[in-house]
Amino acid sequence: MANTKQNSPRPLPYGRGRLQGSRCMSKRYFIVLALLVSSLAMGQSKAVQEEDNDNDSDPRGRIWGNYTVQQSIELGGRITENSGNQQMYDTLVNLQSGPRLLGQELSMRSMNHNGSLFDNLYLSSFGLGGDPNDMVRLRIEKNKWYNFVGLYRRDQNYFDYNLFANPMTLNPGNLNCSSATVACTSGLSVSQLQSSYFFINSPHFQDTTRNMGDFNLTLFPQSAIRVRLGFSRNDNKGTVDSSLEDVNIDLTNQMHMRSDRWSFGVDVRPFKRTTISFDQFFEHDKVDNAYVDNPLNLTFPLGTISGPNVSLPLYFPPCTVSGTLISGGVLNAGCGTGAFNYSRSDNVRSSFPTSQLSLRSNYFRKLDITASGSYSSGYSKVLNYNDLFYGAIGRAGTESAYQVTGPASTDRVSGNADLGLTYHITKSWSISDKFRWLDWRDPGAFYQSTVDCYFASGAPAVLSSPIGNPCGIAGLLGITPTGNVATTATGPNANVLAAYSTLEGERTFFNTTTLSWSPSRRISAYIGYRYGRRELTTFYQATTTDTPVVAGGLVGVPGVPTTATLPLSTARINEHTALGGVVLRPVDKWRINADVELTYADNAFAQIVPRHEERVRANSVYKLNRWASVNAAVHIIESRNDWAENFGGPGVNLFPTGDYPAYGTHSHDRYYSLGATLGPIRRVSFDFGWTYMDQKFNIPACMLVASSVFGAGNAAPTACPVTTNQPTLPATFNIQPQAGDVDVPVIQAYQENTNTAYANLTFRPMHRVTLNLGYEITSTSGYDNWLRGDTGSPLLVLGDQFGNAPAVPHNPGAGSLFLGPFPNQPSGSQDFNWHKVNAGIAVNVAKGLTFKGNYAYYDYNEKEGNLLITGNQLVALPRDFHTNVGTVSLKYSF
Amino acid sequence: MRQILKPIFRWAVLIGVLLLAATTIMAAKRDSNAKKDAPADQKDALPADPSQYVGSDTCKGCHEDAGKSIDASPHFRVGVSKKIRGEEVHGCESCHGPGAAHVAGGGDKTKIFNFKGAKPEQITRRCMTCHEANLEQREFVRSTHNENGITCTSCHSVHHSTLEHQLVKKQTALCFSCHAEQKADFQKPFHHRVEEGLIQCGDCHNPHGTLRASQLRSTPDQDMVCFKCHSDKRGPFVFEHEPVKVEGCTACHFPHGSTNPRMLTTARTNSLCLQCHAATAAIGHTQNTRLQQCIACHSNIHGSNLSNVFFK
Repeated sequence: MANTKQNSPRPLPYGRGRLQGSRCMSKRYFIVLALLVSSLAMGQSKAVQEEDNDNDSDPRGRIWGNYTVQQSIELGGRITENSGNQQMYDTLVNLQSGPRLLGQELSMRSMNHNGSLFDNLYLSSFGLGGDPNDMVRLRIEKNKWYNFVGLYRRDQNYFDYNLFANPMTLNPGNLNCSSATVACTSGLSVSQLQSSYFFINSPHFQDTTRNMGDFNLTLFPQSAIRVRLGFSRNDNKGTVDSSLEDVNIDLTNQMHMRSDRWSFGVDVRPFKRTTISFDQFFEHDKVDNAYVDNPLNLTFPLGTISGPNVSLPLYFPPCTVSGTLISGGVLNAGCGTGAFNYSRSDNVRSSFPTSQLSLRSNYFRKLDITASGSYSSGYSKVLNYNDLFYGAIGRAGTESAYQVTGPASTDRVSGNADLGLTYHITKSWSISDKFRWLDWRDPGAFYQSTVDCYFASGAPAVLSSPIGNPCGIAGLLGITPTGNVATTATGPNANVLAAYSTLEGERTFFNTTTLSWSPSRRISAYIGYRYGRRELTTFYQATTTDTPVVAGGLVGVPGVPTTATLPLSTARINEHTALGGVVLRPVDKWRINADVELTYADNAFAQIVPRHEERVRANSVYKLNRWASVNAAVHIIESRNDWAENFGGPGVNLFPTGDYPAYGTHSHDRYYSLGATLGPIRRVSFDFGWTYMDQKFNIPACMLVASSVFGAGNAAPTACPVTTNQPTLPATFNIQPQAGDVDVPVIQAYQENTNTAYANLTFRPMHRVTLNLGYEITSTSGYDNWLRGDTGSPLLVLGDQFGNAPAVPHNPGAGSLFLGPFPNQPSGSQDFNWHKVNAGIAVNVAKGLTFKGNYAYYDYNEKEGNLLITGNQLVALPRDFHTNVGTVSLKYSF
Repeated sequence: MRQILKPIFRWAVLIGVLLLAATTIMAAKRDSNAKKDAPADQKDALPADPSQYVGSDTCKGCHEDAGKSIDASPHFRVGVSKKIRGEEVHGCESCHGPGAAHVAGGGDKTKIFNFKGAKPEQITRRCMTCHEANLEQREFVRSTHNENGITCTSCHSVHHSTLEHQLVKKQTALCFSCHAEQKADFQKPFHHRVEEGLIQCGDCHNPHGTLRASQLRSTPDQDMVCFKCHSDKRGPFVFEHEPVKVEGCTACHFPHGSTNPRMLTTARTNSLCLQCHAATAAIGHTQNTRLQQCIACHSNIHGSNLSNVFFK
């Protein structure tokens, strides 16, 4: 594959892909530098090797006054060569070319533990100069006086996985194309479709940088009264793309989030072996969002549509309006969604003051006690919310513009208490109890003020019209209305005031009692019981008042307020868990741990949460001798939730009685691991590990299908018997069920099997040279199928919406139960190989000087191959990439 | 063939477990007999009569290297102070117990507390005598590690480590030496940056135990530890996505690493969402391609102040 470096119209962020500016050095320069340093290093190595057999790469340091000082600095650089999907490489690895301060350390230790300002100082860093992750850490302490730890971390988070949030709507069928080989009635050519923006990038792209600082100071750490001070900052900012009303309106957001936390604590030791602590925390968070229409959409060939900031107007597949979607700049308002102009801004400010009191005591020799209680009263508010839209929203059918404002605020009040007790009954027996109580509630309010404007009934919207005030409402956009929007006294334009009041809360306690037996170091065991009770409370109310806007922008008479309420409801869950574990050490070198948890809950808040769960873990480590050890582990989680039994209330099943999936949701996650570490001689070490994960679940569902798709010879399943718990959609919601559609029971069957393995070999062929070789692989495969709920057999497809027969990849078989053309998405992350190869050399060139060279190869390879154009299926650019990363450095220790 | 192998496998496992148990019990019996002669006060962790202490200088007379390693470590304090945080300390004997009998016995190893052959519970109690005072370590007695025989000396080496916190290996490698499953997770393409050195296991877990599952840490107001970094997902929101708050992030995300983007538990978002919202699929949200990506519309899925269906 050619080295495309950049395979997207979306420009790569600064410093990525192409070598740019001062951050990236010329590749040629780097190669020359690497060769020079390498030659020098090898020559020096041979010369020095004969006269000095000691390992001087890590000198003992030097004496500075009362301190032993050790320092090292490692300078170098990287060369990165990528072929394939650059965005994917940046998402997964993101090591780019350029010079780096790869590592640095400074250690100062007082020889008599009695330095003037400090006894010990340790400063280290890595990754500075452009790596996506870098860190600086400082630790200073003076025995009885203070202890300070400061940590700065930077994380560059780039994410552009093009299957993520990508609805792949731009296949020919969705754009009124009879096939990919002829021009579409939407006006878009096949070549235009292939260069479509959405097939290349994720609409939910992200490029942010997080800077984190944690600073903690302890005063008088050895005294009976100890003071703790802390400050943390988490600052995250960058571009976060999102979408509105599906991805028709692609948004870009310059997000800035900052979280500051201050803490003050004091520990007092009033009695022997007893400490009481008080902590006061204050956290302040702020999130600033500024969304605008993503101007990158202009790169899409929009045919006859023109205008500033036009997003993609797309066809909504279930729309009943046939014919032209876009013609002569006119959008069919019944089917399309697009925006001329969109902006949204909001600033969220939150504060969380928390007080905590805790106790730890071993005053009574046989009784260990810990207890703590905390109270927090948080508050969050949304400032400056302003949401402006001008275009057409197909979902609502006729909406052409709106402006939304309104304050929102939420409290978070939480109380917590916990108690831990352990009583040592005899030398072999002890009993423990752990109790945890948590009570929180989040009451929220949103006073939403909306000015809505609609298209005139039956008239098309001219999207290329100049932006104006579509409603004629003074203050909205302040421009005289133009185009064919309704501004008459009978038009549906309105001011809408909506008051939302919400509450979510949880009151929970868990109590775990454990009886432990430890007669010998060879064997110990425990059994226990955990009881938990959870009360989850929700409330929702929305009161809406419509006020029509009449001609000239005058406000009419407010309508009668309407209220929608989900009454205060509390879900109560009683959870019972049996616990057990055993530790065996048959010989000193062999340890075996095993534990089991069996949980039953009489209710579940969400279907995803199991009501029955069995967890089994076993781990064994055997150290054959000083240089060899092997380990093995098993972890199995089996769970199910008999949700389907209660879908329509007690006694009402989701599926007809006797149907295949009457068991409801069930799943398992199983892990099996093996590993070995070998070092038979001093110069060689080898370690190896392998883990297999087996993830599987079956989920029952009712699926809406067209009755016509079953085809000849395929009897339709019996329809789902219940309609409760199903949402009611507004009449304008144009994905309403069509005449003849039925709800039928289906099962979503999902399986993912992942093998992960690694092997590392380190070899020292001569005293001053260290070689290492490593390999890692992650290989995954699986399926995500929809099965008939009545028989459990795969859904069969006769042909898809485009009339493809036989079916094309991901639309297999015949007789789809699905309305849509594309039952299964590409396997993508469910079906790939991920290889990492690593080879390195370190040569001690001279006293304290080490040359390092490292080569890494990254290979991401999806098994299903290129799906760009296969038959009619236009999917997305391949995500495969192959990257070589060379790193050279010199480490100087002194 | 499988029907024949299955019972054979079961019997082999049963016999193996029985043999293992018998071997362990015999070994335990042998250890018990060997220790019967030891004085009672030297078999447990409780301090004995202060007159039985001989002082660190006496210890260093024979154990010079051990003494030097302690002097260069944070535990030097037990040798230079008489009290730490209000508790008496006695140099080497703070941990190994009074040494008079050991000295009088000519260095008899059975006359002094030896960590190497001790029960995990004894080791824990020795260390916790001082370390229970720290907030970080206060729950260790009830921790999952301690319950499973992983005691202080499993991870810390007081005499031989020069690493921070006197760990036997660097933190990440140390944790991975038992938690192979988690090591594999961090090797997957989408993962938290642990192997890159940005974060460590201890950022999210307290290896000394907490009252939460998986020994997880929490925010000061007892919310999930994830929100320490991902505070924009924390809220509180006017419209909460309830499972985020009551079931936690792990209801939808693998916390360590995943083969799936955003570390989701499934490869596609609809596969995940429909686990709870199966009923939603029955009306309007047919699973054609356009509607398989739930988050394309419900983009603020962690919670919203502006949309009750998480559109913005």
